[in-house]
Amino acid sequence: MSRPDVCLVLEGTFPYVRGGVSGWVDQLIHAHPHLRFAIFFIGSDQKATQTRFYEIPENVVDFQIIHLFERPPAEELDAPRLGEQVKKELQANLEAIYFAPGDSERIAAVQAMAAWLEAGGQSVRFGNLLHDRTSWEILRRYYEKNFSQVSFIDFFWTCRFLHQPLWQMMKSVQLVPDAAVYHCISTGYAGVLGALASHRRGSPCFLTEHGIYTKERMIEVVQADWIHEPPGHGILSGAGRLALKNLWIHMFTFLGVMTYRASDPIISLYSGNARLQEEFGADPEKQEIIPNGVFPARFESARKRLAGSPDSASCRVGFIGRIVPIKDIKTLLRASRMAADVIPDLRISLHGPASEDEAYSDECHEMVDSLGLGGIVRFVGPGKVDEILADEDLIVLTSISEALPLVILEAFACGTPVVATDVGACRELLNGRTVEDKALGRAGILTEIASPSETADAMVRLARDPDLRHQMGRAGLVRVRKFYDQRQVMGRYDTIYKTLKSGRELPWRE
Amino acid sequence: MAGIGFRLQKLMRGGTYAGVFRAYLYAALISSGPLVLSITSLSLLGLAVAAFRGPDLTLFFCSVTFIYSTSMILTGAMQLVLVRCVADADFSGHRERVWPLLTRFMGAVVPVQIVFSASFFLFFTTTSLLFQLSCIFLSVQVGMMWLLSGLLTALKYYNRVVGSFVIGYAASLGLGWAFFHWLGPDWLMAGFALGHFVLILMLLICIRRETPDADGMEGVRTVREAFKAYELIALSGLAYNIGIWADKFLFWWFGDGRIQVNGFLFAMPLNDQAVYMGFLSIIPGMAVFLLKFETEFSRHYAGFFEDLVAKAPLETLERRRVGMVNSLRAEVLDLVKYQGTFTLVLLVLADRIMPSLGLGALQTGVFQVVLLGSFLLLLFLTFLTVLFYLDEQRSAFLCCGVFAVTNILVTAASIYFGEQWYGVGFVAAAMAGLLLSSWLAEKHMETLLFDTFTRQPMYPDTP
Repeated sequence: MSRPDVCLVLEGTFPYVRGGVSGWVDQLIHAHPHLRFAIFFIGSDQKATQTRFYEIPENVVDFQIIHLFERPPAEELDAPRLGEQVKKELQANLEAIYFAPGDSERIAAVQAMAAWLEAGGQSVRFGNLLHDRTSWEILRRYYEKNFSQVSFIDFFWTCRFLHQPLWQMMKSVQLVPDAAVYHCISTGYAGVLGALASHRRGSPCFLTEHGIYTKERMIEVVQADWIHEPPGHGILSGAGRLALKNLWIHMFTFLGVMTYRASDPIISLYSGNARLQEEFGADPEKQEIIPNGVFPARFESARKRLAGSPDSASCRVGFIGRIVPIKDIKTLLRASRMAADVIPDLRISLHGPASEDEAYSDECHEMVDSLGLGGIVRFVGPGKVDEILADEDLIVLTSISEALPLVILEAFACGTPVVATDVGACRELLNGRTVEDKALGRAGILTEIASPSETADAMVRLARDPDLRHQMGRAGLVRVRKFYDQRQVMGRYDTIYKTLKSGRELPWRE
Repeated sequence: MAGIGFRLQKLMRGGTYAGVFRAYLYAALISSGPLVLSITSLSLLGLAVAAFRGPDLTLFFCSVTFIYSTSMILTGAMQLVLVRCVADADFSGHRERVWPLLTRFMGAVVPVQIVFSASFFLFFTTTSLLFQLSCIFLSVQVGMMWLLSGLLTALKYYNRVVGSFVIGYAASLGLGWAFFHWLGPDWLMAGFALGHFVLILMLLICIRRETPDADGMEGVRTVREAFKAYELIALSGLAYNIGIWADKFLFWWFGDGRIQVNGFLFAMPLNDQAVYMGFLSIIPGMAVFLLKFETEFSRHYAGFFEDLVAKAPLETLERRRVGMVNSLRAEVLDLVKYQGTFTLVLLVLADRIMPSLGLGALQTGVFQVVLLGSFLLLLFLTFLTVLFYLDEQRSAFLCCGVFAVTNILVTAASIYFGEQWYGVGFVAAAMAGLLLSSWLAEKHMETLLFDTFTRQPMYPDTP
């Protein structure tokens, strides 16, 4: 079998999980039929990889899968007696990782250990780390150096579960197919494995991050109630109290840094995420923004139907998305009340499934009643986006958190203006990101989050002014065609693949 | 969003230290429990028989000794394994499994005892059928006695065990005496065995009352499974009992001055009485040891695990460990002081006590050697108990094995070299056991933290 051009290193996404990133990966592979892809998938356990939600495209020539949290096979849990030399080398390797003075040294140590496990350290099993004196002594020193007042039993088990996937990764590098380019779709385990494979094979590695992995993990860790925290009034306070949570956070941060160091370019979807990446250790010199895209042609008929419909005095307002708290539907309802007070014939349709959080959805229905919005707001349920968009003059979004909402791009593709809160990529979508982009004009109105009055004002302004609607819709349409056309977006990846494959400098780096 | 993050709490709780900790429930047994109680009873019985200047009771006493010693060797392994399983059941809150477990083990012990004693007494002795049947009956009682008293000791019903033994022994002696007088000398054994039956009934009733009813056999190990799970414990029990009895059997079979009592039943009056008397010297030391160990050492030991589970920092655990080491050293020192003094006094006075009991110079010599041996045995038992506390099954087995092998080899050599060396085998065995067990106990106490943590499997086999 010939060497794949690109090895995608994926963690908990395509093809075993449904969602935005998975769909994007699917499109990415389909958009490059001339390239041979390998997929290296990192899953949590067997259960998580039972059903594939996507067909594996034909140009995927190799598909490997590892489970990080699966119980290792019995022989891996054994602790065979190690030779003196191997023991010494293991100790040196572990010390180098645990007591590294900085990230660079630690990265080098992880790479060295992964290489050593393939050479001199082949006989070492995970059981040796679990049960041997060498690793115990190192762990104990590590504890005494940094955690001396922390619950030891919790520290011990935290370390075991923290380091088990790391071990698994170091051993798995050997399984990553040889490829001309490694493309990681997140930092974390996938990123580090890509980094290690790239180091091992001498092929370049780059990164596309949709969400910011390090930040997501930090939120999870902070919220986790199973990581031991002694009560606040004890002898421990501040940092010591959260020592074990910090241990987790440090590990994920380190995984991020290691990925960022190895990757070039480091791609994010929009400037907000690029700033976060930088905060978590990405070199701005290597950063690129490649947004998600849509195929404007798909919305052509909807756009034409919309353009053909007579300009009535009333303006149809739509919301497209799940009825969940993060979308802050309640602010939208309050805003609707205020707007309806000014424009009595306002009609607002909420398109999207309510099944995910039924309690919240019920609360929203109650709110419609209590605000007297009965004849004004309708819950329509989910539908096909282009059909929905053909019947809406304005799209409103009041989310408290977003990345790069596809629905805005889709609205733009129909020439529909958008009112959106200033979160995620909304600002650069509505107002433009680069100078050239900004020159196209505004494609909607930005509002503060959780501000019903601002949203209401924006809705009223656009509802009353068809010309402004047309003007903004036009700007959105041009913007999406120019900067968010999926063909063009994928074309940028094509360029990256080509240049990295041929070993040339990236064209935009002078 | 992509990413698998990290696994959930379920596995974080994977670390249970119950397995280590529950070891302590049965640990004290090997040294403290019914074993000593029974040997003491046997010694007292021997003295009573010796002091009883009536008809010749040699056959009776010799048979009782034979039954006790062989049943200890035959069922010692089962006793320890059962007790460990009971400790497991008790610890995991399944006390209802105790009774079914016991019935399974009794189902194994009773046939073993019947088959062995029947084939021995029916084919290798020429006594009357009544005597033979009484011996088989006693043999079954004694086999059960080890199981039941061990089990109750593990569940910490010390007083009930001691009480049952006192009443049971009184009944045995009383019924023996009564049968002897009313029905004839041949009935002595029958009465004695019937008295043991009283003891067994009392122990059984106590267990039945103190454990809840079971729904069935679910979760109850079979004897085979239990032996498989606790192979080393079983072997330790076997080796330990062989070690205790090896020199006696060798003397009976090969020693100069042995007498054939009946068929394959031998005795060595010269040796036996001095041995039983010497062994009795262990009692005061045992009392001190038990008291101290149950209070001091186990307090430190329990404290260590309490702190560990209560999320103490390493420093605290290390302090606990040092506390354990110090407490053990202090206890051993106490033991050496009290028991040493007592032994020394007996050694010095031996020349005066022995003749007054009608024993000669040679027996006095044996008595003195046995005194020394018993003293060493007591210290050996202390460290062996520590090894069981720490659940160091391999080390415990090693010590018991060395104890047994040394006794066999050195006793054999002593028989070869002549009378003046008699008794050396037991002393050498106890010494070897003591040296090895003290070294191992120290070593394991040194690495207690390492062992406690790193031996935990990351993925427990049972959920």
